[in-house]
Amino acid sequence: MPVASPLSFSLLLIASLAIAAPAGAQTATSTFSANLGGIAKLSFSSNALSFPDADPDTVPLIAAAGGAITITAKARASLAATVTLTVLAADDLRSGVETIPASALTWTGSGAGFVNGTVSRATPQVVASWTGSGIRMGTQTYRFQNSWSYRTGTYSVSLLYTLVSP
Amino acid sequence: MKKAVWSGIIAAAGVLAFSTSVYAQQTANGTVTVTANVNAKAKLTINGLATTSISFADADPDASPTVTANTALAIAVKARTAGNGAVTLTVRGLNLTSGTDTIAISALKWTSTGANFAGTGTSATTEVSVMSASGSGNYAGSQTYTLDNSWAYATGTYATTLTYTLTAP
Repeated sequence: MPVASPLSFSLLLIASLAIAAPAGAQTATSTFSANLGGIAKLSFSSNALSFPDADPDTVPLIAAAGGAITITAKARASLAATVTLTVLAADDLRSGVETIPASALTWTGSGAGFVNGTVSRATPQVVASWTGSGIRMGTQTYRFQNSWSYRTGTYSVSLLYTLVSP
Repeated sequence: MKKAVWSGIIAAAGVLAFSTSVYAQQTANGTVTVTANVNAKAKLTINGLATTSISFADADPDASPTVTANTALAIAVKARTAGNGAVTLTVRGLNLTSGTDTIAISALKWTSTGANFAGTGTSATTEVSVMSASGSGNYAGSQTYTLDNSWAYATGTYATTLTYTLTAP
């Protein structure tokens, strides 16, 4: 993507001023522009979440062993554009042939733009949204709905995050 | 001088020409892997407790050939198993005793309600099935004991302990 970097922009401006300065009686106007295209970056404090075993009667909602995940989203967008971060489960939680619905995973969000939600394997769920460019940070605290009806096993699933900067 | 100015304008035009505007939607992706451990567990409560008691009032054997316990037992079985593992609840007890006098444990019978619960049963000194099911879940039922009444019993206050065993693989 051919975007003028801030460095090249500065060099061109200095060159132009150096040429134009001695002009004295003559003036000319040069308009320089730098087109900053959209760009998006996403990072997590951890790429793994683990839920320990627990008694469903005493711990109906199990907190992740590692605590909250801190999410950093960097986006460059037009002034009024909405930057959106969503999450989608690749599947239900699976342990061999046994499954637990992805909706057993819920989260609470903290930080500007972050919302609470429930994981879905069918529809991307909004984790956070903002307006315009910037670096945004927030946390997601996941919980796993415990139940006596689950069959024993080690269940896993991948959560796919997508940051969209229009 | 004109050349210098024109050079500046050409340079600016060059910047504009080569700085193509890009407004395509940008996306960034990330993945978090989730792991949840679900281990085997079994829990049994009777009337919400680990231990409870029932009693039978004295009655005329002619008028009441069987005596119903003062309260039904609310049995809650909770189990987590692998696959369709068998969940079984059994009960056994010793004969009822009052000093040296005894009443056979088989005099204690029950009726049950609830899915997976045996409808009726007779107590024994060996394990008798109360409930059986397949796989994880909550299984609730009610068990009502009766005591066979008889003119043959020696007077006394008889007691025994019934031991329930929940098994889940």
